[in-house]
Amino acid sequence: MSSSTDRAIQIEGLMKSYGSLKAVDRISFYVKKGQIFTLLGPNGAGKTTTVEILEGLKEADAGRIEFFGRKVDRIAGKEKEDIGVLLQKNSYIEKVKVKEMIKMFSSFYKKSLPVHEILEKVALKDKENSYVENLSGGQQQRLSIGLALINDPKILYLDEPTTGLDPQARRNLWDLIEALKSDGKTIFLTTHYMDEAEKLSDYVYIMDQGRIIADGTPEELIDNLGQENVIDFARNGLEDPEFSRLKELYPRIKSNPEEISVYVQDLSTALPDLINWAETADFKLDNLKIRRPNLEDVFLELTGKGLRD
Amino acid sequence: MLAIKNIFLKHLRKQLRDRYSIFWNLAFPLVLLTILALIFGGQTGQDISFDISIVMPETSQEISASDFAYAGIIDEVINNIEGSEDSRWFQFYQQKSDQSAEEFFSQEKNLLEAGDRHLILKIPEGSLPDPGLIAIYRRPGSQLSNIAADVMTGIISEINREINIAEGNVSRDQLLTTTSRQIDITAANGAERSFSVTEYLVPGIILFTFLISGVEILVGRISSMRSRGILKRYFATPLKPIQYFAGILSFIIVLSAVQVLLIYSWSSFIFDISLNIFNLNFILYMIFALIVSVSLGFMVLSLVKSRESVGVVTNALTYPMAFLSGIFFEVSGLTGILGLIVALNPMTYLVNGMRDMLGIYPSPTSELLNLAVPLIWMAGSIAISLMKFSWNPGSES
Amino acid sequence: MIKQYLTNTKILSLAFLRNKETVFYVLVLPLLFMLIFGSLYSNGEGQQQARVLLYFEETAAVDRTEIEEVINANQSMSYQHIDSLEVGEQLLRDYEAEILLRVSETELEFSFNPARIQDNPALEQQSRTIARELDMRYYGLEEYLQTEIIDAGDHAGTSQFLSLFPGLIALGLASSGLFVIVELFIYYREKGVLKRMAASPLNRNSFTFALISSRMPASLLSTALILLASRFIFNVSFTINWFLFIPYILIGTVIMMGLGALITLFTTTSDSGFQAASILLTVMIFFSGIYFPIEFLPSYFQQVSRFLPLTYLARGLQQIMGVSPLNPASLAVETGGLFILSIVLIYAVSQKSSWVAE
Repeated sequence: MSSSTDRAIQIEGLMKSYGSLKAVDRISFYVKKGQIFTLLGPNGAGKTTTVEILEGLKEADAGRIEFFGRKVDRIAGKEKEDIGVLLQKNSYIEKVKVKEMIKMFSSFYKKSLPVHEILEKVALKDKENSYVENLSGGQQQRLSIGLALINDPKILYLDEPTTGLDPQARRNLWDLIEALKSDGKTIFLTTHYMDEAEKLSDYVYIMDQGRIIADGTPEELIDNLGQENVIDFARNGLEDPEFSRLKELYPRIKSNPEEISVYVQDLSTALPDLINWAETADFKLDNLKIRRPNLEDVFLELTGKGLRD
Repeated sequence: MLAIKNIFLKHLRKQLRDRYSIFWNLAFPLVLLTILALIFGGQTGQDISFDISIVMPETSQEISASDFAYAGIIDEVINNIEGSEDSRWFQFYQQKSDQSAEEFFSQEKNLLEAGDRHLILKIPEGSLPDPGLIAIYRRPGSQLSNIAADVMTGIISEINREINIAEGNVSRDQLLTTTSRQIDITAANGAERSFSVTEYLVPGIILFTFLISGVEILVGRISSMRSRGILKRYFATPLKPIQYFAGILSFIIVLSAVQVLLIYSWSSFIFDISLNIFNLNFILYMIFALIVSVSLGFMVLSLVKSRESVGVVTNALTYPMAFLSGIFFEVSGLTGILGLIVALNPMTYLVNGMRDMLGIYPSPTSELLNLAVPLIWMAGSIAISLMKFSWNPGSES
Repeated sequence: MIKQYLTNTKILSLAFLRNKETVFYVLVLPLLFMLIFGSLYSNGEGQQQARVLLYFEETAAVDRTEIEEVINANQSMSYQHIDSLEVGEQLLRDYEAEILLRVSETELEFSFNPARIQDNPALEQQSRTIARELDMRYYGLEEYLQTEIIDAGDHAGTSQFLSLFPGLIALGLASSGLFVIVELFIYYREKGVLKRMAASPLNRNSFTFALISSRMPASLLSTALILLASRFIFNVSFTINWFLFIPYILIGTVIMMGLGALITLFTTTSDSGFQAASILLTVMIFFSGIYFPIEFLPSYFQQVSRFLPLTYLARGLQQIMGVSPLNPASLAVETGGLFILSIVLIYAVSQKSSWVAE
């Protein structure tokens, strides 16, 4: 546990519904200063509603918010001066150049960083005179992050920052986010990519159907599974009765039409058992992999469904 | 064939589902026809009446009552008009007995400037045979005020002639008689008929819809799909460009046919005019006009790549092509650059040809030119399209 | 706050002027209309000579030279003798001549081409002048009653032609202002542009004000272009009251924005908002009485013009540009009323609109 002075944000009993749908259902959590905090969950879990309440775009129906030690009813102009925002979908006025867009957003804040500093930070110096709509997807995302940094914010909300980017652009963005963390920024990330959450996060809250179902550091969450290892192999059309036999052998088993994963404590006994079973069942063990469990496994374990289902 | 049908249906559905497309492509031509016919056609001549104030001089009753005072003469003329059939054209206003001429004049002048009067006549004092000057106040910004001034000048010159006869300066049979008439329009089939603005407009509006179909609708649809790369993706499937082309062209043809029928029915039912548009020559010429317009559209698509520029270029083309061709109103009086545009504009010749064929107005340009000029534009456009046209999105300029 | 306003105004102005459609509708289209309608209406000003075709029958009692002299004395006419009526009518039909005069005994018969819809009233007037002159000169008729035409308000030469130019300026203002409220409160909300800005401490009223201001350079530029072109192409100049004129251009733009705000109140998607605005613009072009004379329309159509702000804008500009007499009271009431109404509408829209699309 941490003392309340090193918390950037603390919320209690936050609630928001749309009609009969409870998008956010009385959740509570806190974010420590200088950390990367991740809200992980499938689409529709209530992540974006939560983050938009914290960005001041939506008002909660109920709940308490503490912003850097100060109790507030809602996030208003005063708090927004210290917040940087990257929305899930970012779109800007047309026919405005990159440089001008940064100038424009600078004018929105009382204090702001110089334009060239932002351009350098997000590596868009050579694009400063291009129209925003003519930038590539990765460049636009970098610009959006630049605009989120313009006021040198204390906390940065990044809502699904790498969705729709190619792998190279994703890795570039991860590097940028890690650099921001080493600058001392508090970063609030929402994502449905478990690899992203695992790589970047200091602390993770897992959200599903408007509620927080687990929290901890990625390591803690994985350890809590109580399983040391996962063995994955191709399903190769395996059906009953052999599949039932396998399930008897390994009670913790997850499968989809392509792949089977078995969760085991002790590889030295589990592996020979598996090979014996395969020989008896005349099953070919293809693409056999032994790995540590990840957040996806945690989520599967908690909800019985995949993150991207 | 199925592919062509699907492309055709896709465009047809888009047309029918969007209420704005329905407005612009189906209703607007009819609205335009109606407005222009009303503005230029004087269909409402029955409703027009001139509001004219007569300011009489303040002279003693005795003098104005005498036969030779101008006030008396004018009074008599007005009484005559009011008693005749012509009275429906005029509404005269005169000062009340307790009102001074100055007071009445300033009151009426305000009304004139506010648009509630068309004319003020200020009748001079004095009597025959001394000359007198009638001041006619008009509002030059108003067409009706100008016409009223012309009419009153005519009436006064008529009065002058009568006075001259009465004074014995000239005998009635010596005087010139003046008549005016509108010439008959000899149709191509030799039958003489009187001119009708609405008939004159019908081929113009039909041609206008063709111009819009070719240069705006076709161009807009293709450029929007081209710039988003949709067409490129289409042609990655077994769909061939020629099939797509055939599909969208079928849509344009069907749309145009519906437009022609609508305009024809509207002009028949609302304006009670009958034009024989269903003769083979005219139909062939309409198809020719549509092909010219479609070729122009493809030329635009060939020369202008970005979607934003395409929108601007088509507008910059259609406005002058429509207004400077005689589609809506006669433009033969234009000189200089505008005159040159009229002379080079294929629409000028197409509309002349269409009016000639329907016997609405004999073409001022020769039959050869009415075919050749649009044909040259068509051939040029097709040549440019063959060289430059591409279904792929171009680089944004 | 001031800095925020100025920065945003500048950037939004540039963005607006970089848009090719803006350039076309605000700057090019009014000039195009000026060329087309200016050329059409300037014909009625007697700039072009009316060509009179003379055909004398054998019985003609009027001397040829007498008619020739009358026509020669009139600067705005020229003549040409023809051999047959058929040739004359054909020339009229081919637009090679304007008037055909047949003289037989003491009868003058003037013929016109009915397709010259705009020119015929002026041509008939010229014909009557010929007849009257002949009467006066050659039969010694006395003109007991003379007439003098005085243009009300001492504004000689006001006409459809001159009032066209204030109308074109009004059209430029309409293109500049009409679409902006739809763009800001519907289009940018749909696209999520406003949502991103709402996440900043930006003062919304300041931004709305900046966006309104950003249309002013375009309006002024459009106006300047029209004034310059009217000077150099049609050689007309106006006695402009600049202290009224410049504010009027700005106020006029706001009034058109007010109309756009009205549309915004009744539309939910940007597509229908923009379409409704274009339809309204087209209606205004036809029914404001600027480009087409609407006096010949049935009165219920004429009433439409009373509800179109463009009518009042053009009327105000006519007064300020010295085309029609200045009537300060009605100008103040009409313009002031529309201006206040527009501000109220824009304010209502900005209050009603959410920046965060649901």
